Amino acid sequence: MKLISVKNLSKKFRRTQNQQTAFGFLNNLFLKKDEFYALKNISFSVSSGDIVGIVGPNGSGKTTLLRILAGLYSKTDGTVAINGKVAAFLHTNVALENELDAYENIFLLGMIMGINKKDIEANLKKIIDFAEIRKFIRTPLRDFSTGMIQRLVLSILMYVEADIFLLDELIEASDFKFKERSYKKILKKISVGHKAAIFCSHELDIIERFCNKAMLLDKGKLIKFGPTAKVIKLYERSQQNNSQ
Amino acid sequence: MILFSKKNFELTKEFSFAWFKATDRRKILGFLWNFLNPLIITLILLFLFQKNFGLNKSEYFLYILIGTLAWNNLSSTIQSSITVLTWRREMVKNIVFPKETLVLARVGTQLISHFIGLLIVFIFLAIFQTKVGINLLYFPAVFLLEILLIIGLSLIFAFISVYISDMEYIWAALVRMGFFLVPIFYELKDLPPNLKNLVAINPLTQIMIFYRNCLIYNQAPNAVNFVIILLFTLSLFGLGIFLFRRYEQHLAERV
Repeated sequence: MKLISVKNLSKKFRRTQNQQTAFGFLNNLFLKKDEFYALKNISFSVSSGDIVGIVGPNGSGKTTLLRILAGLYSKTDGTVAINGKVAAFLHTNVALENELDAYENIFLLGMIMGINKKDIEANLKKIIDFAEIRKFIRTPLRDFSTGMIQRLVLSILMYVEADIFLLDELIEASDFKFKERSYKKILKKISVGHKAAIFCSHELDIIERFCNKAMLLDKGKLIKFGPTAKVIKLYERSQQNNSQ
Repeated sequence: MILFSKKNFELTKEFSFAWFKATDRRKILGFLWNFLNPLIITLILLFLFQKNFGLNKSEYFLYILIGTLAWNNLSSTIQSSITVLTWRREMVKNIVFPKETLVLARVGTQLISHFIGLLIVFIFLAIFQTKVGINLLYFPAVFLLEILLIIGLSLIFAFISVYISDMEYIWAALVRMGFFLVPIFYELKDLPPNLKNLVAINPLTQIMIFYRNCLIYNQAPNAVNFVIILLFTLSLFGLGIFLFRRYEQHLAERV
């Protein structure tokens, strides 16, 4: 079953002046209309059970694509058909409160991710154990390391119910052991429930191991979409050519 | 999307309490500031203007206290709502949720402070043994009217602030001026006629009058004025929600 169908998707942004000055504000309002395409004529589809990795250099349009699929950004042209509930995790600690402890933050983040309070309560022990933060559950988040925060966020994400998962370089900063556990758990969730996932990563070995499909984006254009090994090979070759 | 689903309400509540707790933990005197701030302003104004007004000291104290609380609630809530979308920029850009929740949670956080502030009004009402009576029952309706006005204005100003980054400073200037254009420490009847009309059409002026009527003078709010203000605040609220729903994606792109 097709969960995502994208046809000729384009996204145009206006390159704005710094609005801090009156000149910048008026310029943005009346004068210069400097536009550019962040995505141009992208077409692909994702079926249930697919795990798609997006690769490409910085500024190639990976995050913009995920934001449009999530419904966070509008599209300029083309069609995007989503068949199912989408859960997007595009940034690690956006909803966390440093002054509050881990326990309080689990509820805060869980609820903004769409989990019911009752479900969070029911899974609280599992979330804490998966994140390995039992001893720090009443510690304010400001005293947490980056790795601990990431473990906490990912542990909560495991309990979000959705058909399509969109992830943007979320697991990159975690240690190897936790990364393995997280990807395996996400994979299990997807395969059991006939769901799909799309994630961006600069770690090509992760994409190769966990994704059955991949897409290469460059300067807003879809260079290739297909079996992971072929896409990765093409990306590596283009990287080598660029560095020479 | 349902305007206020149970899930959105729960989320707003969670954020309101979380932000209240987070702010509180950064203060040595914690929630006591919710009592102290309006009390200090009230005492200063009482000291400065008491001789100029015909009211007795305890009545004038309550008069200013109620005005100060209503004014502080509106001005500080809108001030914190104006910055909330840029303060939580990454959330707006990266998480799928109704963005107006952030503004409503700011209102909720201030509402908790306001509730604590209102406690001192009731304490002083008891101490001064004012003419509290049946018309006190209008208090919740007046309170809801003020909250509705604050939510509507907060949504609209928060929305505009994404497009005009100086909104925070414009509001700060309006607050400085507005303090003298609502009857916090003076009575409407003491103003010259042209100025009186200008001050009287301000919805907050009417809300202050409604508060004082039911809390100090045991009088019911003027029904016609109440309905007019209610319709006005409902329109503001509707416009605010419309802007957020209609331009949600544009907000995320611009913020």
